[in-house]
Amino acid sequence: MFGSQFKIVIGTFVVAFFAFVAIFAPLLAPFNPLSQDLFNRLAPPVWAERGSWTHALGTDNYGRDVLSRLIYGARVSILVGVTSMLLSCTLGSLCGVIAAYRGGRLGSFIMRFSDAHLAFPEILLAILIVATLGGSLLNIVLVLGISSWMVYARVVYGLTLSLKERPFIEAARAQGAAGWYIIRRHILPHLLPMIIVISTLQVAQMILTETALSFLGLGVPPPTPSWGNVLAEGRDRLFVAPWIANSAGIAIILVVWGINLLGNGLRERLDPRAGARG
Amino acid sequence: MALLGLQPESAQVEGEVRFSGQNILTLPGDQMTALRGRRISMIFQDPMSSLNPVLTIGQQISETLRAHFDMSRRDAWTRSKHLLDLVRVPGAAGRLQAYPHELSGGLRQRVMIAMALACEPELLLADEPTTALDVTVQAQILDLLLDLRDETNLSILLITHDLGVIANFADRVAVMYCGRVMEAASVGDFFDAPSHPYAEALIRSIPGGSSQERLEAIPGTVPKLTDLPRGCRFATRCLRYRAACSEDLPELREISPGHSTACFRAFDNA
Amino acid sequence: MFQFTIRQLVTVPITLLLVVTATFFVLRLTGDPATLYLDVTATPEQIETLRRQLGLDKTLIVQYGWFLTDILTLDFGRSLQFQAPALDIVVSRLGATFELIGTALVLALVLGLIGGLVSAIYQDRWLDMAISTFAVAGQSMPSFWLGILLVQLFALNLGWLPTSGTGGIEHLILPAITLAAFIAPNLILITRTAVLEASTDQYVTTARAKGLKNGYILLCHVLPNALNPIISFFGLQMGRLVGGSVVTETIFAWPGIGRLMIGAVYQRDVPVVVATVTVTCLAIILANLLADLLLALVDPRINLE
Repeated sequence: MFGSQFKIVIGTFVVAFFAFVAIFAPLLAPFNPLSQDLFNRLAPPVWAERGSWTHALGTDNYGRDVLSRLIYGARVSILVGVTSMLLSCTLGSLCGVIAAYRGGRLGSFIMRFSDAHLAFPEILLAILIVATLGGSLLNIVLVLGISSWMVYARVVYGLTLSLKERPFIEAARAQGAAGWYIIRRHILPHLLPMIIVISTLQVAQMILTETALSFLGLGVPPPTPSWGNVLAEGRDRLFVAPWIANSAGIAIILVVWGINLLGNGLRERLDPRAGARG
Repeated sequence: MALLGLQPESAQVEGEVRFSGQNILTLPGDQMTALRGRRISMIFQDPMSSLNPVLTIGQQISETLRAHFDMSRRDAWTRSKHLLDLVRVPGAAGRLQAYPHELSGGLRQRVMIAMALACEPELLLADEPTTALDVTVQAQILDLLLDLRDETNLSILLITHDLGVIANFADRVAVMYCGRVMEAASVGDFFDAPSHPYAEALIRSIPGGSSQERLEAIPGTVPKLTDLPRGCRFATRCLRYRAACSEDLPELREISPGHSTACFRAFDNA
Repeated sequence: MFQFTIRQLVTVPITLLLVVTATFFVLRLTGDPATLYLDVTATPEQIETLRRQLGLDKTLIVQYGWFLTDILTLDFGRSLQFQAPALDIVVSRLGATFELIGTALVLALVLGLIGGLVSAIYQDRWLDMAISTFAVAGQSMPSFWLGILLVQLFALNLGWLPTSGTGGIEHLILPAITLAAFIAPNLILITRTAVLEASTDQYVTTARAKGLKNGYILLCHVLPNALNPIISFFGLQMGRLVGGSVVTETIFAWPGIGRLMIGAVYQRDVPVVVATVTVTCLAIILANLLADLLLALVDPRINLE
């Protein structure tokens, strides 16, 4: 398909744009995303009849400016995506390296556990945690982080196993280097490209899952604007105000598409063997 | 590969392949498909990867038959069993149900041969059929091929690096270097009076009897196929090189009846 | 084959035990369940009585033992909302979910396999570009938004199909498409890659040298070899499909397990939550088992290992 160069450039551009929006949200947003204006509920967007530039994407059921909510929502969604990715990446890579490097009972227990966890959909975990702890930004990050460590564990496990047999690791061991030293100095650098690729694609996945959970009422609790929330609230007013749900949907698809593009481009660049994929 | 039109699309093929008086390279796709496996068939270097791992031996042989003949499933199956007998696979009836991974390398190559001979082709292309096999199995497979050649109406085109195999097996030899025929001769002429410097060098590189002798190798390396020299492709490594060799590509010319060579120097003394 | 099945079956209880244990500790370690059953106005005495009733005053290990025995005897407790055994309610909702997931699965399979195959056949030509771009876009799309778009178009604007609920086949169409969209794009890309990879194998050259027709080679030689990654993918995607069905059932008010689960969370109906989670996990584990068996069926080499 398109070259990896093209994918990386476009992907980076899209991601950078949304990152910019998220960071400078207070400067960019025309309104306070939380301030209600009950006299101006469900105002139509600029492209509709009677629409105006004051509320370019219209207002929602409480008269809040949809554009401002989306701009602040970028903050929440990207923050959740990145932090939960970091959590699952750390957790999973650590488990994978330990399982492969130590091997033995501990190793097989970790991998067995990750297999079992694969049978446990993240939505169920989210339901359990929200049912007991209630929904909050922290809980959603926890849920997402905990429920996708297995992806890293499996990949890192496989890679480390094959690395372990390579001569340069044996040479390091023969020289008496300690386990953690070898892992840090010799194994991790080799894992890094793969981890970066998975992590990029994971952020996209996390953002999608966050919106799905928010949509179910299990995510970031309202009135905090997250894209999932905006979409969920828009769904209740679909008949009279379809623009609310649709503008949130377009924001999500754009950022996730950008991240996927970047991730696929990176994968083709760093792992030429997988070039045929996607 | 190119002889049967099996090369990938990016490959460049020049010249012509004459079979029964016809240039088969210019045949349209469906006629070529009808020819493959029916009149010309092929066996490959690695019998493991050449057989489909998820189909049984019987399925793979009988599908060849059914592709070319109007045959019922049952008839094809019976014929497949006879073919396995023909290539001396012990317990042929049972092997039909076996998958390739359940057979040894030698047996797999026999299956490949059975498959290739299924439609009684006139020509068998054997692309290094013994390279991936043990030495003893190599001899068995070559014996089998020789017997089959004698028993049936079959010609074999054997592609190999092994000069020993050539000496035992071949009637005529064509030496190829970088995609071009360098010398073509009967097997006797080739070993007794090689005329192309490359052929000479090949024969010199056969290890002699005594262990004191140094193994003689051809100096230099094969040029990159993307960056071939303009003149004779062996020029850079040739012991009898002269300036003209880098100018023009030498054509294959006959130096004695049934013996031709593609070297300017071969005619110097004549 | 038989031995293989047995070996795989043995792993089911182990996996299930891990899942159930995790469920238990998540429920217990994250708070006092007694407070969940009662509303905030409950007096300390009421809480204390309930704690004793539920056995919450015992040590965690004892509680865990009880929990396991309860589940082994299929006793998940009584549902607080429905005043009936939790398991019965879950089982009564299973049919609707199976209907939805089954239809979506067939739809995704047809779309994914055909899309992937066509894409691989026309590799790097415009049709492949179109399908691949479509698939990547599909991956980037929140599938529930697709559901919402479908409702807008077919139910609200055109009025062809109902927005939600159950009934005839017309109620099933939109939910099934929405759920299929959760996995179809990935399936297209996986099939494409698997087919492309398998078609570079040496036995494909052999098949061509035998004079077999291209269409026959694709169907009888390439596709069976490409099935392996496709089936593994299905095993891994079962969880995603279940998650997707929770979302889809919520959008379309489909009376399956997913909506039951979400409702139970809002109503703090812990027995139903535990029962749905356990049943769903069992279903996923069994689906994975099925995938492993299928894998052994399509690839004769696996039996030996």
